[in-house]
This record gives sequence, C-alpha cells and structure tokens, in this order.
Amino acid sequence: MEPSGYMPIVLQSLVALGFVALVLIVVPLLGPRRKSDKKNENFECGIEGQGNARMPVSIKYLMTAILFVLFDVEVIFFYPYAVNFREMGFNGFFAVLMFVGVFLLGFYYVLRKGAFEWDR
Amino acid sequence: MTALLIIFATAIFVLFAGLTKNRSWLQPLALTGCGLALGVTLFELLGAGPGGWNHMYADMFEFTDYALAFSAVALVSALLIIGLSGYGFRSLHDTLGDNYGLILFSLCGALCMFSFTNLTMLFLGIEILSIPLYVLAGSRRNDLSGNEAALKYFLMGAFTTGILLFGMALVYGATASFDIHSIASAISDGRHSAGMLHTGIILILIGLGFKVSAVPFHFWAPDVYTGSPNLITAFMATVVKTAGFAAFYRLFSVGFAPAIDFWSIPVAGMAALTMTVANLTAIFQTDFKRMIAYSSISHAGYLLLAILACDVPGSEGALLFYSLTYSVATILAFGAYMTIAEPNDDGSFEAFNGMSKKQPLLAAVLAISMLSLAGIPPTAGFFGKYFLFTAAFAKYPWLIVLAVINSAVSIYYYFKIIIAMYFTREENDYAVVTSPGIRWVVVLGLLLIAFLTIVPGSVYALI
Repeated sequence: MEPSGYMPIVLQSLVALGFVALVLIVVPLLGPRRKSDKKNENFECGIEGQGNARMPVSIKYLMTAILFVLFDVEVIFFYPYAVNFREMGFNGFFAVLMFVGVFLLGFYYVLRKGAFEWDR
Repeated sequence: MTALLIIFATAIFVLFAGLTKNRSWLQPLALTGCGLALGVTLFELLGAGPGGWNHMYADMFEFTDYALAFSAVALVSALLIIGLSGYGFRSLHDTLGDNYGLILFSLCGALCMFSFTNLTMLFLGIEILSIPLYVLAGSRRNDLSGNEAALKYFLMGAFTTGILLFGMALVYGATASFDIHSIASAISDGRHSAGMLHTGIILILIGLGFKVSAVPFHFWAPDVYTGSPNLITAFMATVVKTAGFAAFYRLFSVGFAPAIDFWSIPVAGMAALTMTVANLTAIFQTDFKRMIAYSSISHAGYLLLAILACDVPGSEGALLFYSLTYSVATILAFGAYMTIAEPNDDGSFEAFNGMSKKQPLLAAVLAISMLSLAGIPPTAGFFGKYFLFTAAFAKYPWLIVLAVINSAVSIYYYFKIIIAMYFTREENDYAVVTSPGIRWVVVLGLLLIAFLTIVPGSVYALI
C-alpha cells in the first residue's frame, strides 16, 4: 500500500495556507489606516484605560478555568451519546452512567479538596 | 486484568480515604491492594490462567504468561516501594492520599503496558504511567530542584510522546492495523510500504528510547532522578523501567519481529552507546542519586541486549530475571540511602562514611545491592547479566565484549559506596534515622535477593 490518492489533501492544505497568507497580506494593504493616541490604546472601547494589564491574577481563576474545561469535555461527550441514545440501548446507558459516575467522584474530590472555597 | 482492576479500585479508594482526617491507614490500604493484586497475578501465572479476560475490550489486551510475570515484577517493586513510604512520605500531610493514589494510578499504566496487543493500548498505558509521574516528580511544591525535575520531565516527555504517536500513525499507515499481530503478518506478507514502516519504527524507537532513558535520549534522567523525591526516583528507576522494557520487548518481538533486520542495527548502536556513555559518566559523579541515575541508564543498555536477542529462546526469561534483580537491588539501595541522606540533607558519597558501624544491617544491605547491581558473581545480579549476555552472545559477540568491559567499569563507581561505608577512616557525625518499615522492607528484599541467588532458574524459566 504505497501512499497514493493524497493529492486532494495536499491541495486542501495549499488552499488553507494560501487563504491565510492572502488574508494576512491583502487586508492591511486594502484597509484604511488611522493612527492616533486614542486609536493605539490597549483596549479601545470608549472607556478610558485604567492601569496595566500585566497584574497578578488570582490562582483561583486558573482552578475554575481548568475545572470548567474538564466538565465541559464531559458535556461534549454527551452530544454523540444523545444522538445514538436509542441504538445504544441499556449497554450504552450503563457505560455513560459509569463515565458520569467517575466524573461525580472527581467532582466530590475537588469539592473536598477545597477547590471551591473562594475566600481561602 | 484482575490485578489491574484491583489496583485501580485501590487507587480510587486511597485517593478518597486521603480526604479523611485519619491518614494512618493509607499505607496499609495501599499495601493490601498491591499484595492482593500480586497474589492474584501469581495465582493466575502459576496455575489458574488469566480467566476469560483475553477477548474482552475489543482484543486490546492479551494476558499471556509474559504479561502476568512482568505484572508480578512491577507489583513486587511497588510493594517494596510502598513499604518504604512510611518513611519516605513522613513529612507529607494533606497530600499523602494523593501521593499513594498517583503511584497506584501510575502502576495501572504499567500493567496496561505489559498486556497490550494494540498500539492504542500501548500509548494509553504509557500516558497513564507518565502523567501521574510528572505530578509526583514535582510533589515537593516548595523545592526548587523538584520543580525543575517535574518541568523537565513533563516537557521532554510530552515532546517524545508526540514523536511516539507520529511513529504509530506511520506504522498504521504502512500496515493498516494497530494490532501487533496483524502488523507482524502485514510485514511478513509484504503488504506494507517499506519507507513509511521504517520511518515509523524509528520514531517509535525514539519514543520508547526516551521512556527507558537510552542514550542519546537520556538527558532528562539525571536531573529528573536527582530532583524528584527519593521514593519517586526509586519508582521511576524500577517500575517505569520494567514497564518500558517489557512494552519495548513485546512490541519489537511480536509486532516488528519480521523487520528485525532493519531495526536491529539502530538498536545495537543504541545499546552500545547507552552502556558506554552511561558508565563513563557515572564514574565522575559525586552524588548518590545522580550515580544511580547513570547506573539505571547503563542497565537500560544491558536490557536492550534482550530486545536485540528477541528471537533467541530464553531472552524473555533473561529480561524478566534481570528486571526483577535490578528492581529489588535498586529499591534496597534507595531504602538504605534515604536513612542517611534525608535526615542530614546530604546525598554525596561522603555521607556514607563509616555507615557500617552506625547501622550494620543497612550498610550490609546497601553493599549487597551494590554488588548485585555491579554483577559480582555470587549475587543475583550476576545471574541476570549471565542470562542476558548468553542470550545475545551468538548474534552480537562484539556487543557482549563491550558489555562485559562496561560491567567491569561499573564496579569502580558501585564500590565507591562500599569503600565509604566499610573502609574509610574519617567519619562524620551524621545520624542514621530508620523506621520499622524500612527494616521490614530491607529484610524482605534481602530474602528475595537470596532466593534469586540460590534458585535463579525458578524465575528465569517462568516464561
């Protein structure tokens, strides 16, 4: 089995890369350019900027973000299951139940570890 | 599989038990789980057979005698290490349950790596083994060298995992299968693309070479071994190495066996380089853990001989026996090392000065494990090297000559410890702090080494 028939993939990669390059080059050339103090501010949204963006962020935010990703992934797994709910029958139901059970255990674990105690 | 399930259940149980106030029963719990799993594995290996597990899970596992015997080796190592943990983890409080849980989860990955028949399972096993270890390597959160170790291990490990995956993808592309038996038949039938297959094998070789720390992919090992907590280093040097080699051997002796003429050349080069570079570097070390790190790299070089000789009958047994003797000797050495290095915060060779007078038992154990690692004749390590070298001798006489020379070189640095303990005049005022747990483990390990020394054939002939 020599690699063959990969030409469409090569073409598609070329098209994707070409599109990115094209947009990056053409847009700055075509678009109008205005430069002023107001325009060059970090967050130009009508409200005056306050202080610096580089300030320490509480690590609790990181914990929340990571836990969100974890449970978000759990929910993503539900979509294919919801589509195949009927075909998979009770076997699928128990498999998903086990999966959710493991996640619940994990949830209980982070709860007991104090990941949600904001004021500590 | 039964052992895998037991270990997994124990890990979760220990993790949650660690949340309670009473942490004194975490170690007994972990020990019970490992002991139970070892009992079941030995029962399956020696009599009952693996039961009906073989064709479950889409045929991704195969519980042959090979898998069971190596599971037993890993479980013995884990038992000894957890036995030492009462001492090694004495300063941990809130995270004690997590540490036991992570060690056991890592062990689950090792058990997957012994019994895989599918590259997917091999990859999952390696990841389940590695990810808890990245955390464990940095488990002393306020220790700078521990953080360095964890970061280095994680970055390099993630990178080589990528290379390994790329290799697996190419092998799949060349042979249209992830199953190692189908890969073997696709290669021997000629139903494959040679260029893609060979690139894939080389990339997999790099990935696995990193996991077993073979030269030139060994650069992470000394720093990671030195920076990690002592027990975790012991775990990396024994269980991880055993798992890495068992998986390496299984993949190359089953899956890639028909392509042996291709991959034996780079593997032979890797073995020669690994032995030589590691032994020559180990000579210059002044720190015990760094020396052990280089010694573990050099043992990886010897173990690669088993993979080169994978078509010789008896090479499996040689790999098994060598892994077991090496693991037990390394764990015993760490047990003795901890008692002097941890209370005095000094890991150099001078710390051992005059240890034979302070703690005759521990000094004797350390001496015996050093002799065994060096392969001095009456010890078990000698038989390990003997089996390994005879298996590979017919095909690679030049490599065996190199290996014997390297073993002779290694005597130099192993004997530095023995000289410091027994023959040094100048003494230090270091206190040796032991615990009953350490004495138990040391006596059990000594009995095991004695058993392996007296009847080496009993383990060698198991598979």
